[in-house]
Amino acid sequence: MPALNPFMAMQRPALIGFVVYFFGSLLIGECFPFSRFSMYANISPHAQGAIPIFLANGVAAEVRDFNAFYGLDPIKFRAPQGVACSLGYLVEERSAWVAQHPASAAGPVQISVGFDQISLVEGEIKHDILITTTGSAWP
Amino acid sequence: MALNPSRLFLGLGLWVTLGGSLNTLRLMGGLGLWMGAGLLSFGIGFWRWYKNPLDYLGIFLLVLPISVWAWLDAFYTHQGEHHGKILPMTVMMAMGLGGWLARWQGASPQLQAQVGQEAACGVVAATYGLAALAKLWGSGAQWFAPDSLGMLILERSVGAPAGLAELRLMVASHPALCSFFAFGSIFIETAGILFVWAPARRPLAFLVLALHTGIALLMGYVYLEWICVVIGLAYSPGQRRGSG
Repeated sequence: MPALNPFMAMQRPALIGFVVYFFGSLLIGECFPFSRFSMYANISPHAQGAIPIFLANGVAAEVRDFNAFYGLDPIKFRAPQGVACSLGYLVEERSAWVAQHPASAAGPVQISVGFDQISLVEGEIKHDILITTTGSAWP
Repeated sequence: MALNPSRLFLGLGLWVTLGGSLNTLRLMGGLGLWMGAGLLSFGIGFWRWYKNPLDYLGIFLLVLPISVWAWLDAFYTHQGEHHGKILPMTVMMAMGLGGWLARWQGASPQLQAQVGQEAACGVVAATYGLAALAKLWGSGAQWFAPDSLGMLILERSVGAPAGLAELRLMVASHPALCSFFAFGSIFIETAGILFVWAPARRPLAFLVLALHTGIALLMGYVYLEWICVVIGLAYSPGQRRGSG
């Protein structure tokens, strides 16, 4: 390291680290170790939100509790046009799991996938369930 | 070796990240084990401040399997799932590579550690700068509208534990609070760029702590490892004003 000013010299690696990671991430995008950290950055004002739901025989369940799925359309896991949902990672994770675990026959558990559309009415949350695809699953 | 609180924080950050890797182990089989071994090895090496050849073995064990893991992980989960792991890992890589380059130039072990820490501070600054830029680029002025952040918080009130649900509902019901938090998050993330400058690091660490506490309470994303890494770096030896 240069012996001019130890303090300033020690800032140089920080500046290099900043430039490499900042511009590397802007250029490369979502490719580890780079990222643009845009998780929920794209939002706009809306009066109604949507929470992805996954129901097994009508009860909330975890998608990974099932090993094979029949009749569900992973594309329809996504929020329909006009429905704002900031929990996209849940949708993508669930649809990827279902797409990777197809079944050749209907299973014993009825599955419903959709959204719990919520809005704030006089300080209370109003729920409106929207089912976008149905099918069945094997535990 | 004297115990330094900053090492405790960084060590805790490592262990929390290791916990995340165990989840990867569950999802991905043996790859998570490799990742855990790499982190552990690097953690041991880091603890010794780059004085041991194990440090560099740790870097290799860390970088290779984690890179493979991240590629595979991207097919299974959304980016939000592994964002919590990115900062500690890139920080560790920067520390390792920075220290390695300094060693290559014949620097003393102490200087190797300091160069590595400085490079890591640059990565931290870039990370928060990128987060701010993503929001301003993606949402523009709409980020500050009460119904934007308010709806995000409201969505996360459903199914949350009772106390948190009430808190989130209360904040979502007050537009001024939503705008305040939206502005505050952008302000702190933008200010995070100043982490490249040593005198700003300790005040920034407290702002970052406030930011992540707010995110955890209102959004449910607990980035404990990020807090540990930022505080650990800000209070590392050699971070005192002008000491170099």
